[in-house]
Amino acid sequence: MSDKKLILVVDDESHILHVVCLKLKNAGYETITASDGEEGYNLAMEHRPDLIITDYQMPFMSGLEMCGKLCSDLGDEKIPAIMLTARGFSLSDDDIARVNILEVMSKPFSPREVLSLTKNILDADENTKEAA
Amino acid sequence: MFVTLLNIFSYQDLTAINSMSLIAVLVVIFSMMYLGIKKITTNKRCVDSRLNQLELGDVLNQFKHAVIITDSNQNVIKANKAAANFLGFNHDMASGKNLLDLTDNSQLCEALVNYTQDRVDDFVYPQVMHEDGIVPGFNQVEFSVLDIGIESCIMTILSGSHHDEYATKIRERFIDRASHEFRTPLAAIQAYIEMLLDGEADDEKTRHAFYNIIQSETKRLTSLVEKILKISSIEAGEIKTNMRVINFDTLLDSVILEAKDDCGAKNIDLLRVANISREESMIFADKELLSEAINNIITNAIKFTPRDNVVKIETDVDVNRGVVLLEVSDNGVGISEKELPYIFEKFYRGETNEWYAKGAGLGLSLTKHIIKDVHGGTIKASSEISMGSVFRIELPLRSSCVKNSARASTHVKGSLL
Repeated sequence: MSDKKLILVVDDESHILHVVCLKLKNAGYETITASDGEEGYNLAMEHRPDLIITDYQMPFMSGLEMCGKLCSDLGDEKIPAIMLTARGFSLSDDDIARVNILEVMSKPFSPREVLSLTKNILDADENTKEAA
Repeated sequence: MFVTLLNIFSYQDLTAINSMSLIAVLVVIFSMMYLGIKKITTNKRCVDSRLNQLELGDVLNQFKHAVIITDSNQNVIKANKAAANFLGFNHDMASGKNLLDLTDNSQLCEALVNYTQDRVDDFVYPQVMHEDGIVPGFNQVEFSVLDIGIESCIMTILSGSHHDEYATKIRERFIDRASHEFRTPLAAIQAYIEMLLDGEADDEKTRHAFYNIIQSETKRLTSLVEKILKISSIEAGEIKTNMRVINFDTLLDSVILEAKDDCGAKNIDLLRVANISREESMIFADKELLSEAINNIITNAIKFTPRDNVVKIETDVDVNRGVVLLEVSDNGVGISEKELPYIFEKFYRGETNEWYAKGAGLGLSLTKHIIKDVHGGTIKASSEISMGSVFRIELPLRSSCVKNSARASTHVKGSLL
């Protein structure tokens, strides 16, 4: 099936990248990975994934900065994002909503929950498109 | 009054005093001594010989407040490092220069000129904070006159509540970093266990890879906990040490041998320069702890140095001061001037080159505790971005250890054998 949903996973911890991708692949999604915010931004611009799952604290560009830059550069073509964070403080709702981050999960996280959120977001997205 | 004050406070006390009024009084005392006023003090007893060895600049540099002493033309007679950092001039080159040429902080300069001319002291310093919000700023200014007979000098002291904001920022950053360092390995452990339970690993090879990841992340977490506990126990003065007379050179050789394993991948050469004979370098130390501290310094140098470079490890002995010296220098990515004061703080990682190598930001903190509190030594770092860093350690030689061990034992309970 060529209409597999494409998910970009961004994290500077290779083990986290690997585990999230495996969970998603096993569920039938296609994944691409980046190990910092800058690489993530470039891949997102190039491949226009259906969803981004990103870490917050990363070298060169944080997950929040990456999502912000994508939002301003892509205009109406917003890519939804889920953020996984190991930070000690929660991010403000305004910060998150402004850059189209739909869910924030703190690390340690459950891959099961990541998958279920992914499904929810992508299915809702699909329904909106069909309705349109 | 001088006699009383000078007798009351030891040098260590002076460094700890923060009270504005005491600073003012003490600075005036030291300024007067420095400017030669002591010559006209008839009572010679008040000039303690130990105090003669104290440089005014060294004393001023201990204060968190910014202190600048200028003449009637705003030429700098003395300024401390806090002033240089805040106003953005080179501390070592400031003496004799006009303050108006040294800083573009026109508000302060204007206020100083007004005060010098009219003794008008109604200046309200505006809220100023450096861009990144971590360099302590000042929002209060106090001028006073140092009348030394020949010429009136003005002492400017900048202080303020920014220290509180600064402390809060440091604390927040500490919690943020600590949280990140604990949560990251935990996240991997939990995620891989859940994957195994959910049967997401479909063959033995993948399962085995998962077990290995869980094991390595558990080790990472264990090492983090051990480092924190070690730092805490040193801070609480409760670390158990095994102090013996050892040969520093031999210890260094074995640390270098171990560190060589890390050099291979980047083809980094460890250049050992020994200006001492083996017999000269006997010290009183806990072999395991000191090895760990020195290993941290050397592996840091390797980590932050690009491929095909050299890390220089130089040793020397200063018999007069009774210390053995170790200098580890690299031509790696370096640490910015702004970040340098914080590198020994727990969980601190310089942001400029954070991407260059991974780490929890605990190594240097632990190293400083081991060198300073366990061994009565010192550690200092100097660095420049893109040019490299130099870490300099001094440890008391065995002969001077007898004197120092009493001091060390006040910091560290344990078996000082």
